[in-house]
Amino acid sequence: MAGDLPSLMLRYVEGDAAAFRVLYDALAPRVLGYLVGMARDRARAEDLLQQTFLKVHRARDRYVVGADPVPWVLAIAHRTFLDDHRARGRARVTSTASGELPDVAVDLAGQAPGHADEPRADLTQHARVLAALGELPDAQRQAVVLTKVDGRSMADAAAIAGTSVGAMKVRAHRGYLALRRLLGAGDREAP
Amino acid sequence: MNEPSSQDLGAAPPPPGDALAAALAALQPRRPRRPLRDLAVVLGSMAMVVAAPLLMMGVRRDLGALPRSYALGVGAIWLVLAVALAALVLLPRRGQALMRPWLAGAIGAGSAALAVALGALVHPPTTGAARPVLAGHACLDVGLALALVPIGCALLLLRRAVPTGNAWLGAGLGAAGGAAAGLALHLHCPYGDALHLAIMHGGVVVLASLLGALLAARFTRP
Repeated sequence: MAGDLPSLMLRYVEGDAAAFRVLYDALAPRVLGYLVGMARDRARAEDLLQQTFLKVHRARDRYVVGADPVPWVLAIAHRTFLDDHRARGRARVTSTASGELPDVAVDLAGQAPGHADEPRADLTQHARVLAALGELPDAQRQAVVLTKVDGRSMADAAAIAGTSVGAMKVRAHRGYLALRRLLGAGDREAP
Repeated sequence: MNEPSSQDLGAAPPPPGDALAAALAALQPRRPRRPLRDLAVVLGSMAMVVAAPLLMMGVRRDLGALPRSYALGVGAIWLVLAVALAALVLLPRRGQALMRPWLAGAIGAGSAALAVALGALVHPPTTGAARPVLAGHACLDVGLALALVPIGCALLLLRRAVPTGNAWLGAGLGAAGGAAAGLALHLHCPYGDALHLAIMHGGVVVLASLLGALLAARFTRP
C-alpha cells in the first residue's frame, strides 16, 4: 500500500475524490494513532483528525509529485495538534483530575501500523504506557510516538517535527529514559 | 473518561466528517507544487533585485579601481549564499514533500553572521571613502526593501506548504533574500568602511533573516 500512496495522492490532487477515500482509509488510522498518542483523548484526537484532513485538503496543491505523503500528513497533524494545544492554553496534556485514564486508539493498543497480523499485547500494559506518555513533555512524547509507535525513522521524525536529526535523537532518548522510569516506578508501586 | 475498553481499542477511525465531505463534493483539480519551478521563480526575482538598482543608479564608481580578487570574491560569496540558501529553502528532500527547515535556519543564521564578519574583515584597503556609519543607513533601508522582493515571492510560493519549522525556514529564506540584496549593494555602494560594510550591508542579512522568520511563521502554515 505504501508504494501506492504517492500515486493516490496525485490522483486526489488532480481531482479524483475516490482516490481521497482510499487515501483516507490508508492514512487515517496512523494519523489517529499519532494524535491519540499526543492528545491522549480519543474524542479530541478524532476532532483533530478531521481538522488535519481539512488542512490537507486545503493544502493539497502544496504536495510534491512522487513524495511520500505520510510524513507530510503527519507534520500537518502535528501542526494541528500544536495549534489546538496552544488554543487551549495548556502547557501539557495530563490525565484527568480524578486520575482516570483517557480513551485510547487502535494503533496504541498493541498493533503498530502495518503489523495488524501480529498478536495484540496486553491492553492494561498499553493503557499504562499511554498514561506514562502523558507525563512526558510534548517534544519527547512526539519523538517517542513517531519513532516507537509509528515506526518512523529518525530522519522522517525530524522532518515531521521540523527539527534536526540530532535534536530528534536526543528527544527520543530522553523520552525513552523517562518512559522507562515512569513505568518502572509503576511496577514498584503495584501490589 | 473511562478505562479503555476493548471496543474503544478496536475502534476504527471515524469516516470523513461533514465539513470534509462537503469539501470533497466540490473537489477541483489542482496542480501539485513544483519545487524546481519555484526555485527558478525565486532566482529570477533575485536577478531582478540585483539588476534593477544597477540599471537605475549604475554600478559603483570605483569598480574599476577595486582589486579584482575583492570585487569578484566578495560578489561570488554573496551570490553563492543567495542561490544556495534559496535552494535549501525551496527544495525538499528527495522523495519528500517536507523541506529542511532546521538546516535552512541554521545555515541562514550562519550566513547572517558571515555577512557581518565579511563586511568587518574583508574590505578594500586603498579604495572607497570612509563615511559615518549612520549616514549610510540608506544601504540598510534599500537593502531591506530589495530583500523583501525574493522573500515575498518565496512566501507566496510556500503558502500553506510548511507545517512545522516555519520560523526556521523563514530565517533561511530571509537570509537568502538578504544575500541577494547584499550582492546588489556590493555592486552599487562605493563606501569601503569596515563598520559601514558590517552594519549597513551585513545587517541587511541579519534583519532580513529575522523578518523572514516572522513572516514565514505567519504565512506558510497549512
